[in-house]
Amino acid sequence: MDRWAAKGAIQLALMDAGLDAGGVTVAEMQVVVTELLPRQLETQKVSGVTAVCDKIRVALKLVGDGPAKDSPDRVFLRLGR
Amino acid sequence: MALLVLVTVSLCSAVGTAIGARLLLVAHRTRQLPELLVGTAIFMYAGLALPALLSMGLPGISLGAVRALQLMQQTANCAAVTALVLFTWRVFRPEAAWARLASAVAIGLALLASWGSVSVAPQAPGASAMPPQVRPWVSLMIAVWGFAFIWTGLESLHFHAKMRRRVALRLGDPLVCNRFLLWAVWGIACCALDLLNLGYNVAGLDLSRHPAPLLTICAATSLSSAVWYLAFFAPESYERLIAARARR
Repeated sequence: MDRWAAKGAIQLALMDAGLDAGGVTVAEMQVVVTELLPRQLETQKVSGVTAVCDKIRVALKLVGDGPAKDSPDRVFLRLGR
Repeated sequence: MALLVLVTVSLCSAVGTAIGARLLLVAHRTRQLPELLVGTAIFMYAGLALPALLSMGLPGISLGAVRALQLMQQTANCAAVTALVLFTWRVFRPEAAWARLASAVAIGLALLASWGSVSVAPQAPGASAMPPQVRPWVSLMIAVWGFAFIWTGLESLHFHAKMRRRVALRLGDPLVCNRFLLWAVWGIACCALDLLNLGYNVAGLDLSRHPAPLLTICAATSLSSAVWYLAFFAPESYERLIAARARR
């Protein structure tokens, strides 16, 4: 699987989750990798899907969230408080 | 009809003023622009523009009072639609050049329509608040409102679809997801009612006196009261209902 195909699979998994690559948090990405990415990788006939996802999950533990952007959901959350 | 209008507009005015003020308090606490914009939009529209519009149609009102109410209504109306357009741009499309341009054009047209309406003075005490020479300006303002409503409604509907997918994965708050839906329903429905009023205005009906536009105003204000209440001041029973539906 090349770099572009991998990026595409992740992009599609993020879209399935209703998330944007620019604003996704590590916790959200963990859910996407667990719940949606395996299906995307299977449709692209990637072998060793479980191992690939485990590797991504481990890598995700090493990164932190960037500064939070003010997204529409954060705004609408504040409006009800 | 007059009583129905009085009740629905008074209710919308009371609910909108309270919720607008509450959102302005949230803005004061968070120091964030979106809260300030949406609070200003609702407060100006419900608390000032709407009561002034209907007061202009009262029988026996003096020319001076009509002029003062007209000025207040136009200023508040322009401020409200400007705040709504800016809210939609800043929240949903802050980085899109087309959204910045569309906002600037809409605000420019709203200012032009307000100036045009105010520059046409009522002819005599007791005269219609909507004399024929003011109609093109009123139509322009209604069109700007229509754009503001449909833009915010469609953006919110689009984001609601995203939020539903997040809620299904337990990544989103069901109440926030529902808030997007309510805001979308409000924007789209108000745009439809706004287009009706545009048609009435073009057909020459007096928007502040004729039963058809008054009925449209009743529908729009009733809907607005309900949506603002459920979206920004929801009772616990409604919150429990939304949470229970999300768990199913």
